[in-house]
Amino acid sequence: MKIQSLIKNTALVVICLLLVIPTLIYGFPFLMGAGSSYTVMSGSMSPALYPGDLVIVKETESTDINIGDILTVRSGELAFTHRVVEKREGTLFRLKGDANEDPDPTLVEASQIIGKVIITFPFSHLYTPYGFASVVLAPAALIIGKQMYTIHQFTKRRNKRDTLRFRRKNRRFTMLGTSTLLLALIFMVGTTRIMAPHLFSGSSSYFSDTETGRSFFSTGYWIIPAVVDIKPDTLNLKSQGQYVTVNATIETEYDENDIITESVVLDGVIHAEWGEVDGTRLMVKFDRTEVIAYLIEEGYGDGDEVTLTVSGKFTDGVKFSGEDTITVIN
Amino acid sequence: MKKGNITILASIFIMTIMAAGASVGTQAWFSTTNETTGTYTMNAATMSMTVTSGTISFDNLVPGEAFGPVAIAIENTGSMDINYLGGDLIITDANGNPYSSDTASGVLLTNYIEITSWKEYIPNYGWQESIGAPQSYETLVKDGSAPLTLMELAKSHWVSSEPSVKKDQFGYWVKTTTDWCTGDGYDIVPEGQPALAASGTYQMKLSFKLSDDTPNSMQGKSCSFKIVFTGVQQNSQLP
Repeated sequence: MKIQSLIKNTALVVICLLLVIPTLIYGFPFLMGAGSSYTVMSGSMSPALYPGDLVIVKETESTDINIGDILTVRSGELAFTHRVVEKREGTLFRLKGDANEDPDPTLVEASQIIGKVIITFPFSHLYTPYGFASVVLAPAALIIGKQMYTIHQFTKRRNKRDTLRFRRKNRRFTMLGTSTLLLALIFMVGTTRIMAPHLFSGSSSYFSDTETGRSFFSTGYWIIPAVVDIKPDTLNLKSQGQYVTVNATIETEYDENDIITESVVLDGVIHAEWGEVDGTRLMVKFDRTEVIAYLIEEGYGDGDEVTLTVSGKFTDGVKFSGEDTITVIN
Repeated sequence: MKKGNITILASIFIMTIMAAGASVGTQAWFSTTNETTGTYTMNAATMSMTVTSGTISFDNLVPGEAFGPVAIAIENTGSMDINYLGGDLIITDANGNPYSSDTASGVLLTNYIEITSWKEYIPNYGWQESIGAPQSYETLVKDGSAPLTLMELAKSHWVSSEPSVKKDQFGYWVKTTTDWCTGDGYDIVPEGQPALAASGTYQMKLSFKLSDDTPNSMQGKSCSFKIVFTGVQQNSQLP
């Protein structure tokens, strides 16, 4: 009987200490040299931390924070606990919940950091049906059972001899034995922890996910570039030649055969006299006197370099355009 | 009173306290383990989104051409409601990477891509037209007098004061405000309602036009953009 009771009480003391020591440290984190403590409120850090776990958080210089550390960080009026996955310039950190697919969308500044998680207590087990049964239901049932047994003992009808023996045995009867007190302590701490999310502020949940939708645009050619060669390269303003000849090729999928030769103009003003498409090359001829008159009108003189534009249309209305530079002499 | 009677009374008292305590504890346990609110989630909830639309491309655009819509759908494939859904529009190169220079042809081209319509589909609220509405991006970004361009929309999230934050995972253009955000009182969704409940699908449709004033130098150029959607539970967690 003595040994049984010793074993029973030792077991209860161990359970008590497992509950009470973390709870004490949680309540008074300075016992561990830490600044604060939080209850984990979500599974975003699972499997490292589960909701209900206690974390003891110690203030840490940002230089002492390394990738892989778990930090508790202020975010608005709330705090959350996530792991460091990236360090930037020493003062900015990228955090990620282990259970989240992507890192947190916001970067954390050094000033937001409450500290590094130095100890975790797996109190999440209290929230499992077994944990709940062991710290709330079982202690309550045992205490109630014991009291029922006491009532039964005191109200049982007995003959005189039995009564005398019962009284003698219970002379030093105490209502609250060691085991009842220990059970009551387990019950109180357990119930308080289970109610904690309703009572205290914790390290709040931070689930996030990031997805990306993409789109791609490209412009076509609405003025098709043409490679233009204007002959002669040097035009004498006193020249008596009949034509200025232009060779043009189109370097896109547009077909030179679709060019409307009548639409080809030089600098937007001089219309082609004649044109034809020969294979992959457009050849047009402009009246040289018209070109010279235009150049003189534009004020070009001896030695000037002139860039002339040759443009025109394809049968579907799309324009093409190209430039070449010639030298004017007089 | 006899000692026996006091003991019985005390026992009944202890039993009552324990029973009351156990019932409070049980209630707390049930409500705690089943609750998923903004501040805590004690059950094994998960948050996950999936883009259900592919990359959409439009080629051979010419000035004045209207094109679109670009439709992007996001499904909440997790077990948890997404209370807030925010988006970042980022101009990228063809590979989806941010440009390192803002004079790259792809960046310049976005000045000429006008957004003609912006529609969002939010479960329970249906299709909502955002451009032209009082809280539209057109008016948030500019006064609404001229068409909103892709560049302006991307630039509305531009942060220059924090160069270290500038080149974020979100790319060359970074959003810091939550002006494009839906859920719990933001945008279309009333207070207390999630933007995207579990297994719901959010959709977005954007229509465009290549500006009539697109210069010839923009011929044969390409640009790309991506929209990075972020789902969170609390608005303080939005980027």
